[in-house]
Amino acid sequence: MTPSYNERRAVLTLVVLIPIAIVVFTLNFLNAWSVRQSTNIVDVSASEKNAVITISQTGTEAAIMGVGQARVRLKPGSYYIEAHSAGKSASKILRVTRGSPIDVPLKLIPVSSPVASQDTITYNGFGELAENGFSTTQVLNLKQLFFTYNKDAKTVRITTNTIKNGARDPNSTDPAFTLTFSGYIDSTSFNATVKYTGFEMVELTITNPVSGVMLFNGALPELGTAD
Amino acid sequence: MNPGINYKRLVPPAVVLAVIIIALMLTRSVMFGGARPISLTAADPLVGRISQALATGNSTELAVPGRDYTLKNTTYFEDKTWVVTTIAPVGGSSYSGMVVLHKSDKVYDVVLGPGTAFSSTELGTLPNNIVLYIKAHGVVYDPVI
Repeated sequence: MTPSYNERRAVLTLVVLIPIAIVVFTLNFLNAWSVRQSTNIVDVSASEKNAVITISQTGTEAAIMGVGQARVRLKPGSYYIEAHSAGKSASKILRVTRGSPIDVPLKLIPVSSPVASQDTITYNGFGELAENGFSTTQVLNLKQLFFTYNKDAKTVRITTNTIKNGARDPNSTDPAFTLTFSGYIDSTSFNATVKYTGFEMVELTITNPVSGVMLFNGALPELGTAD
Repeated sequence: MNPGINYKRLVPPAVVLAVIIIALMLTRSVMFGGARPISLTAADPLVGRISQALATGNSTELAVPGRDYTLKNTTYFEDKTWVVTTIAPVGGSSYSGMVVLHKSDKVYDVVLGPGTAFSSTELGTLPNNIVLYIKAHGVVYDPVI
């Protein structure tokens, strides 16, 4: 039976697609072969199944390898591999060479928070400072200064009825305003004097309320870093 | 069904095409031994390790340099074996602080930070010139007695 026009067209389409598919397959194969020859398999397994495994190299961005475990191909070189889970982490410098697959077990151990910040402290009474002309940035800078003074503190509390505006000499050219107040860092009392200028600058001085000894003096932004 | 087509004649070329397509899909997986090739994007020498150090909890997102933070005041010591840099937040991110890195086996590792304040005891293992540099930048505190 003579093939119909539609049948001839269908066969022709398949016959044309086959060489195209062979070319694509060959290119894909050659590319995969090249990658295979230039890399080695690295198996990373973390002791916590929900640990996020990351990798970086000097001069590159970091990348996520996987969660719990990862099986990847890496080019020869030195890599930094890290796994982190809630409150735990593990890391290893890995030197990849060609050859047998490399196993990298990572046993996670508890660590402290990697980024200590002012957010770990609870601040009470700081809202009152806005009533005395503090900008939002100045309040943040003041919190940062308290944190700089004692990053282990849990609570910094201003006794709001002790907030007083400092005297201003009408003939002075100093643009700074001054506030004084008392309060507690956790259960330890303090006296504070704050000088503030513009919308950002804050200088904090903390003194011992009994002895009057200065415990801390700092300013933000640091000199030369203000915009 | 198209009455003008004898489908039996189409089977051989269709099978050949199907085999090629399946082989195409399996080639990479088989040749890579089930492993995914990873190619890392080139960047500043320090940002990869710093993004890793900033990762917390079970987050599967890494801080992206330029989008989430930038590095300022990067200072190298002892033939680039040590480096101190400051992480500055970008936009609304909360990433900030100073970080000290040490180069070992061609890779920088974080040895202090990222943090915005350090106690004197945390600086104990660092070289003197780096301790002096950190102290000069006002991020060292002594705990309340």
